[in-house]
Amino acid sequence: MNIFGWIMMIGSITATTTLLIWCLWMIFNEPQRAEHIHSQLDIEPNDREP
Amino acid sequence: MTTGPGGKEHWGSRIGVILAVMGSAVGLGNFLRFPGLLAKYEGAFMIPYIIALLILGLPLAWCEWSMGRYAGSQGFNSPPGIFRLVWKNRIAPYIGALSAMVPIVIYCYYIHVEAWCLQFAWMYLSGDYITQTQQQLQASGVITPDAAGQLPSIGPVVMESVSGMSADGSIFTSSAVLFLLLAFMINFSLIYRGVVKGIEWCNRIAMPALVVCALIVLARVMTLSPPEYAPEQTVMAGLGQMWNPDWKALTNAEMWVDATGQVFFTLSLGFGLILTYASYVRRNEDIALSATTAIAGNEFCEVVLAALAIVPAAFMFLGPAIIGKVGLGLGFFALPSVFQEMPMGRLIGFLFFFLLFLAAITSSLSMLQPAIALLEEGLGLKRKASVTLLGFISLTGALLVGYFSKGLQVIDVIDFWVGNFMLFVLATIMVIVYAWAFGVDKGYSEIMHGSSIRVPQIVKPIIKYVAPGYLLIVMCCWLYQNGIAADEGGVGRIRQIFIFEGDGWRNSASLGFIAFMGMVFMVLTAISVRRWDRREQLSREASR
Repeated sequence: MNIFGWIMMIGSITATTTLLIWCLWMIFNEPQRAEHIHSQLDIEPNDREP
Repeated sequence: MTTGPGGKEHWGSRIGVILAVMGSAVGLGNFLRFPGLLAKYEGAFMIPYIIALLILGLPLAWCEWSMGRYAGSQGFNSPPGIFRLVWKNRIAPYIGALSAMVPIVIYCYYIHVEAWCLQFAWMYLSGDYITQTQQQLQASGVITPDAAGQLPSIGPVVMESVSGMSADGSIFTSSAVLFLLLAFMINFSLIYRGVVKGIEWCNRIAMPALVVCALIVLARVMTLSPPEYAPEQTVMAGLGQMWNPDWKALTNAEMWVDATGQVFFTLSLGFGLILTYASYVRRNEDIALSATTAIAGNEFCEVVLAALAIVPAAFMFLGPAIIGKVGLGLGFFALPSVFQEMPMGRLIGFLFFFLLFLAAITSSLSMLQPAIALLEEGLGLKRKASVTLLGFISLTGALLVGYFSKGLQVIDVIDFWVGNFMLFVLATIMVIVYAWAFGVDKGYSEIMHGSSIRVPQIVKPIIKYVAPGYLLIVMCCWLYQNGIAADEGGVGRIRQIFIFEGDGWRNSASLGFIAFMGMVFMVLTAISVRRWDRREQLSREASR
């Protein structure tokens, strides 16, 4: 593999992995919002047969 | 304000919707199409791929997520309902009907590929099926060792019995039909369980399992020694075949079209899947970061897991002959012979086909949901009735596609028109509706509503001008390549499909099947529109 091949491969892998880690870090470090709390009405009524 | 008839069905958690969208995106294209394209065009392919991802992929994903969540907050989950809500035009729901129809037509052949993955995984798991088949074939003289004493790949032979490509109806006389029905039943039992207990539950298990399987396959490939008969075919040489860039390829229009097409296939953009999934996101929940995370997860599976494992392994055991093989040719015809040669090949073969099955099932579930949403909110059907009706439609379609299996011509024609051409058309329509009917300003504020990250303002002109222009250019190039340019060297792909003599009757049957499915969804949409109009009229009269 030549030097440009290494640059393309390492650049692509680093960019992809870094983006994924950053996104997951942002999601898991975000405080939960009050409106996310489920209520009885939110429990998938369409899934139930009458 | 228009309020849809849908209930308050929502995703159970934020990570659940991200995994579901990621699962919808991560499919066979990640593991079979992308590595093949990268090997074909080499490292330079990443440049148009990244440009298409930034200019089209990410902005279009934000469009679909925001339009979907907005419509979901008004009670609409199906593409016809969503289009009718955001674009006040009588034809809007019928355009949306295409976004419900296209995934179902794709499903009718995708379920076969999913069943092949399941059957191949079972073959590797259930003992020495592959070796026994090889010995039986050798004994009966179907395959003979070459000059070096190596037996040829049994992939094509096994594939012939699994796919029924030798004769029409042959899958019904082999075990292939059992795997087809099993895959079908798994899909519909999950869909019946609903968005949270079915789709989200499946993706929460399947996606981590898929990544674990892929990491084991990758670790095995990276630690392989070159075969004795070709010591120069090392992992490094295989990686070099893929990543060493040929800068002249950047002037190749075909590579740009393929890179753009790959971004669409891999992100499930344009054909209503994300639109429907996003409609189950709660109104105040973030979508910008969730969409970005789903894309990042998909790219990780594609660029890191698939690209590093598949082509180097294939190159080591099959040599440069593997370059240019993309999709089914790579996965089902070439790779079985790689696992045949590889130490621990049986385990790796099982893990590989099992991860393909997981990737396929998470994608096929997303193909069913737009139509289920249409049947429930448009026709007012309950879950059991909607699943039964859609099961009947899609099983009939899948059995027809499965029966006319000779040469896989029917699958090929349907994939060409619906899985390729229609995707470009729908994506172009989607971005135009978003930019010019829904409005980029309204769309942008919808993206930013509840957002955890700041989406740059430049996304507005990109969505309004750059993305539709880029899509139209790519679509014209695609038509030129498959039509006029291909015609110069013989009969082009488009003209080939309109040859109806001899075995060409399969072409007309395939086009007829697509047209019939289109009519079914137009009728369902017409009934839905009447119901929605009547309900809104009653609502207006009641408020007077």
